[in-house]
Amino acid sequence: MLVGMTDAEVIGRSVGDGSLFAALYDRHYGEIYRFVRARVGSDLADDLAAETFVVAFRRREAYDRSHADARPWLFGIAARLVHRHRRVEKRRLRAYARSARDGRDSEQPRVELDPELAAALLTLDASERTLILLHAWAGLSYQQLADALSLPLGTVRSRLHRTRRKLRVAIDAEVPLASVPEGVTP
Amino acid sequence: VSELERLRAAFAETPGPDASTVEAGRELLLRELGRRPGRRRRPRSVLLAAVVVAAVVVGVFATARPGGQLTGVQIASAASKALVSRPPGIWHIVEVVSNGSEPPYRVEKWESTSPPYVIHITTRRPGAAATDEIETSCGGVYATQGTVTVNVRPRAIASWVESPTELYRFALRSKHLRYLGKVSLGDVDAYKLVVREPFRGSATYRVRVTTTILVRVGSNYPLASASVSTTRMLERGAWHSIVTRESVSYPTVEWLPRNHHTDRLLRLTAPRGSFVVPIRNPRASAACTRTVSRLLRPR
Repeated sequence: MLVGMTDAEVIGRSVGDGSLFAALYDRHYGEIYRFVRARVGSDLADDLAAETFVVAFRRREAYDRSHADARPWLFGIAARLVHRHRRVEKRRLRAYARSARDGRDSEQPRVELDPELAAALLTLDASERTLILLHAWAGLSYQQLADALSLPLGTVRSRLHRTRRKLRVAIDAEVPLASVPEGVTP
Repeated sequence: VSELERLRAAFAETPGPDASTVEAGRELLLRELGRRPGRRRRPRSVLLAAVVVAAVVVGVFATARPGGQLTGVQIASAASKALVSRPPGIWHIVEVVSNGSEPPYRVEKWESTSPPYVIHITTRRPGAAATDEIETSCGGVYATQGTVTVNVRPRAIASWVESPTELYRFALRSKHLRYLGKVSLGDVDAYKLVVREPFRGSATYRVRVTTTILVRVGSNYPLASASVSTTRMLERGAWHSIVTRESVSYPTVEWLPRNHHTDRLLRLTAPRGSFVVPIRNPRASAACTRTVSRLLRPR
């Protein structure tokens, strides 16, 4: 029945019949889960990805149905939930960054992120990290980022430009691993 | 290689969810879908509730109508106050719910009003399996068709209890509460309260929810509540209205003191012939494992 309908139409109909909202879950759960898992790890990912849809369901009446694609809205909710666990994310990134010093062929768990990249991401603050990862990992355009984070389009452009430059500089400079605390594993 | 390409390459290795994760998430969402909107509230301490009620009562006193005429706020606050000012106990609520699209069904609940918060729900919904479930902040116990699942999984939401007072608090929080006079339902006298929210939504889609609450005269327990949503959509320059009767509930409410005997009502009895499936989250503490396991009472 919902095949061919846009996300906005599904959300609109789900206001009258909540069970239809499950279709949105089927469409986007996988993407949301991967984004959350890449940021905070598998331990928290299942809870946060599921909570994203529960929050979305409760707020569905407020969804702006002029946006046919609900992905920016869902990623925005997921990003806010991840933000509450930003310490977990930083701990993970530090652990990945440390893995270069400890050696990848040791008994450390297999890392999912390049150590240099992880160290460079640590130089960004949480909101900058959210912005660039929504762009790179979730594939959101500038306009979609603006919708997801409730920011003006111009602000998104300038912040993303600044964040990319900061990240590039950090990668080129190869952030010293000594700055990454020890005793943390992914 | 640009920094974005490096990020994308790293992300490409991130695995997707496995089938059990997808199902667990779907189950959580379906449970949320099953709740009636606007009724789910986090429990508040009795002290906080008392402060809120006292503030409302003072406000009501200051704004009482001349001539002794009752207002919706007066009735709802008096009813809420009467139900809140009780020692720790258990609400036993039996609801007959009718949503217009299927035959009425029965929901029975036992809810503790003090920690540890436990809500035990038994549902008999036509066309669906009868379910018996318990919720706590440490996890839950669910019984369906011969299987009992003991799921130890601490939840971010500490706990929630839908005591009858929640209905009155919902009414009190609204700025659109009105009292429409006394009515009788099956020879039972009741005050009729109506919360008629304004239309909300976007430029092309608007929804208004109207909730009617019948409060028993004397005991202040809810006698019935009905929720009707009106949806308006703008299509080809004209507004179309669709009225949907969402749900009508007839609750019977009983308050029980909490003690060794009544605590047994907060536990689930394993159906005959059922087998138990324990699911223990690695992050769960030993105390949580004990709490949830204790809620299952074998036959």
